[in-house]
Amino acid sequence: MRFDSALGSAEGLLKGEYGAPRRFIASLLIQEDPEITDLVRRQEPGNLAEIEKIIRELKNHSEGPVEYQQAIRRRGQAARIAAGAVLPNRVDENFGHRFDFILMNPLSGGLVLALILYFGIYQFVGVLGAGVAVDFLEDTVFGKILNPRMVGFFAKTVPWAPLRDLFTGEYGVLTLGLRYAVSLILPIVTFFFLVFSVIEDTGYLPRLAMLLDRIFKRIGLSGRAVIPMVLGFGCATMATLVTRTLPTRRERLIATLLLSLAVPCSAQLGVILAILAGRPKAMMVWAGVVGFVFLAVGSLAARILPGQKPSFYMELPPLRLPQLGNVLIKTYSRVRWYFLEVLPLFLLVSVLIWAGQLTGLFDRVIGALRAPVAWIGLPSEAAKVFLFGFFRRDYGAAGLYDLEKAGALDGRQLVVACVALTLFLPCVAQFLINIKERGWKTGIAISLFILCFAFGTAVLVNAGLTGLGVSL
Amino acid sequence: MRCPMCGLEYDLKKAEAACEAACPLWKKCDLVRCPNCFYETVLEPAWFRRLFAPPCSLADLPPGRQAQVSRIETDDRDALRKIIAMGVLPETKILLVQKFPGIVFEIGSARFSVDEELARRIHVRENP
Repeated sequence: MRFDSALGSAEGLLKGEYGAPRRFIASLLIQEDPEITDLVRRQEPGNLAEIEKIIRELKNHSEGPVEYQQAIRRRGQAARIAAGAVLPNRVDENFGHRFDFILMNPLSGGLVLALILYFGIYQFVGVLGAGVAVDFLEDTVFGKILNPRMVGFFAKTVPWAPLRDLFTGEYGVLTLGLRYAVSLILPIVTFFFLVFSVIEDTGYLPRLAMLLDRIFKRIGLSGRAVIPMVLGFGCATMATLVTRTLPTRRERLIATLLLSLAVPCSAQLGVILAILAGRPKAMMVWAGVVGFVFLAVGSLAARILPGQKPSFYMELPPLRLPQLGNVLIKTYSRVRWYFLEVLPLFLLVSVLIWAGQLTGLFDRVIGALRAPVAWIGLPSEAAKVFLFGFFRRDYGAAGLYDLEKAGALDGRQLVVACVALTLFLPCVAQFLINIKERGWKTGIAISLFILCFAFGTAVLVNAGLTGLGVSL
Repeated sequence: MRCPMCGLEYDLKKAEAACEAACPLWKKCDLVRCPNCFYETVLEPAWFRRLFAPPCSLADLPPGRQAQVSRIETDDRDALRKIIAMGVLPETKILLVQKFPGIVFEIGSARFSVDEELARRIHVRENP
């Protein structure tokens, strides 16, 4: 009861307006909540000093922190109320628990994860989304129907060639910007978010977090970081926003760095899967290098960065069958967010490239990029891809896809290009989000590190593959 | 830590305070000092303590067992808040579901997962 009297006198001392009952504020003060303490300090420092005296007095007389005592009391109250109001009715949860066992056992859980990755990501997003759906939209809808009509329309109505090029030229707003956004990025992202929503609604993600917690601890993160990481395979920009759910600054920083560096977004992933689909060895090298970079940079960051070690706790909600309506609504709202985010940027990039070409700046930058691109053993056309990649990395990957279709690259070059593009600078959107979330110093430092690191890795991979004489 | 001189069970953080009070060279020192009788001794290695400590934390319980929480370590407030948030308090009945790769336990019909560090802070006694 000492607590109640302390609470009463603390409440009586409070005079400010907080938009919440004073008793509630007083209770949080007694529990030494740092935010509320700051808030009260700003409004009434004198009264806070008095209240702190009461808190010290209370602490001297109680065993353990106040919130611990409070939680025990509250539990007692709740149990008394519940005992008079609730009849226990134990539902048979055997089936759910048996299924849960399969998901949470390290062996079968790993197998389930592999199956989800293979069917959900590779087959559904990679083959069906990035293969069938993209081919249909690219070749049939744009290639045969839309592009010829748009080109014809502008050829007839716009007499001035540069203006015509702005809309329907090689890098036109309609023939390139709109085409990439609608026929390449849209289907891949839609397919990914569909799978993600299904997985999310079953309650599988907390179990995955539990399974991977030990591995994630090695890279300075906890299992909780699984959710932004998995979401990063959809859109790293969105995932960087989701890193807000991580409890410490250190974890948020490591997660942001890894998302920017080694987690390919769904658009990129889809295109890379499509490019490397016919070359299993090349795909293994790519996945191996990117996976190694992810773990190596993560564990280095965990060693170097100061701060508290992460700790993991999470509720494992019961498994549920996802409801079609919920899945569709979630997918729709995510795709809409993504598309509205992407489309203006794609169109803007088209305009920039058009302006760059018109003024000759574009050619000069590509010329300057040719030397570094040659160091990683790629033909000079690939310089264009990397320039695109700076604006949006999926945009760059899409350019690479065109290049591969034209048969300009061999297996080794494809692997090097895919590795470099995966690791390369985050797209403009992510660059901006990094700065917004982590501050401009950290944001720019991350980008510079990635620029050097991606290039260095590409040089090494190229030298390694050439030196070993591997043909992929 | 248990003092070999006076038998007091003490926390290493409290031992540090005792060292600071008694000795100017207390930082970077491998000895620990009992806060009660100020007797100085070497720290037992972690594996030695684990070998002789009775199995009492949630992390020491074999999977599939039912147990009751006896005590929660309260020195780290952040960790304590997390444990309270899951409804783990003294007297709570816990069923340990599994221990690898993550520790999973059940309270009533809710399931939670924690890492080993948090589980070590939850002391339990097995139900007969």
